[in-house]
Amino acid sequence: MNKNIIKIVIFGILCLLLMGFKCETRYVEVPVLGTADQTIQIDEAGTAFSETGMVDATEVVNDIIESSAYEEVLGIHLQGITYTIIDNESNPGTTITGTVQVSATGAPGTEQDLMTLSGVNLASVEGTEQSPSLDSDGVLQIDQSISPFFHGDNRIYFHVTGNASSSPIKFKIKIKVAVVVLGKVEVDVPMM
Amino acid sequence: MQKKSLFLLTILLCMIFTSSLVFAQIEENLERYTEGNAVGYIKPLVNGIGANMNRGWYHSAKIPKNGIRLRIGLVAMIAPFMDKDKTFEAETEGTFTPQQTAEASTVVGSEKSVSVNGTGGTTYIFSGGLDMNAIPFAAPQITVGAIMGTEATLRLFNSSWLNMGGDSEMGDISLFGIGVRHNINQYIPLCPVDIAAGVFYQKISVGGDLLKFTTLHMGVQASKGLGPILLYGGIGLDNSNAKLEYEYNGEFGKYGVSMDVDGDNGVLMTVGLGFNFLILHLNADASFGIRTVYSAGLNFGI
Repeated sequence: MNKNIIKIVIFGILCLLLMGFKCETRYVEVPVLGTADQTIQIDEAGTAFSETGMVDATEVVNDIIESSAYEEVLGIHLQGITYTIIDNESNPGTTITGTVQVSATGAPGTEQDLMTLSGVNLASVEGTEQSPSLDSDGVLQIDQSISPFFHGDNRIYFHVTGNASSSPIKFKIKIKVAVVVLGKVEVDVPMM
Repeated sequence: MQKKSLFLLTILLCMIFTSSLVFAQIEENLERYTEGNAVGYIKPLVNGIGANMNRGWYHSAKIPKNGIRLRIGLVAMIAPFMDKDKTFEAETEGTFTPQQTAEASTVVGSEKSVSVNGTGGTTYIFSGGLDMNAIPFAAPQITVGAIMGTEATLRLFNSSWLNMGGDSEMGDISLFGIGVRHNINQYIPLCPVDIAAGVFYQKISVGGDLLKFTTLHMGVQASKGLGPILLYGGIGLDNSNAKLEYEYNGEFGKYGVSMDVDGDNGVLMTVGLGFNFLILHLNADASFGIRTVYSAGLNFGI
């Protein structure tokens, strides 16, 4: 048989084996989690306390967007908020009751309720991350604060107010925000 | 012809390189999941690749008692995914409250993410998939023998040979497989068909420690030649396992996750058709078990 015919047959068979393999582009929705936190110091001679703090998630969000190589960012959402009591130097058995409010700007009068602290025994929860129930108004406020469609930054202002069962009162409250960035990633997928 | 050969080689390299990028994305998607969800997310791919790797080892049961057997070729396989492979019951992780389950995409499912709402309207999002209907696989292989009716088949490939391992995002892809088959009909006088039995082991590594597949197939094959046409079939037992190592990115930081995922392990049956023309051997077959896999091969030799 002519050598060229054999080569053509071989080439044809190889084509049959491999031609079915191709690549198709997919745009996969990939969520990536990031966290940012802020520690607020409470140090009062009396029983009432009121302090503010700011969590800046801008760097976290920007890092996620850069490292994930998103084609398009679909949204940034609040996945959860936790708080941890640390460095408690209050009297033994001291409990606190109060609220944590949240604001997009930190301006007075713009705060929304986020969570309630009800009879929290500082010593018993010290060092343990707490996952409280959250108020929808506060969550919406945070979602808007971190959304790329509303602001150029991702800052969230917290206002912690309340009363303690005894004085003086001295502890820190570490508030951690977990945000999830959802974006589309382009992937070439082998298909047949 | 050289240009055409280069084109084919380019397609093959594209497949391998593309696969490495796919695995890079899979690793990123897995960062969202710890072991429970990760198993559900990745399992269909493990099943598909495992089933593919176990195919294409044979295209005839005829093994000479003694003599020269040398065949070099390429085998290609494809395992279609079933509807049930597209989703899994995922569970929210970390401190998200209240804990919930949702029907989320597996790695081969829809590109769309799935989200659930928690306390106060917080949002938990499960990753989308790669929307794959099937997973292809290809491997070069060489068969040598025969001594006392026994032949050995070797599969070997390493992406570093093509100087792409160092530049690839995922590093090396390496494949090693070995199989041994023995002529059975030599012990059965006047047997109307050729019969062989064999065992095949294979290992493939992707991206160093990310994904390590091991497969084992053992079975019995029979074939009957009708001129240049060859009918063949077999029945065997598949076993596949994948070991995954990746970094989980959760609320408490990043930490390593290592887990084992078993593939579809069970009995399956193969039926195929071959065509022999001098030193050219072409075959195609289908295997039916927990999932169906199609395979085709091109071999040269005697």
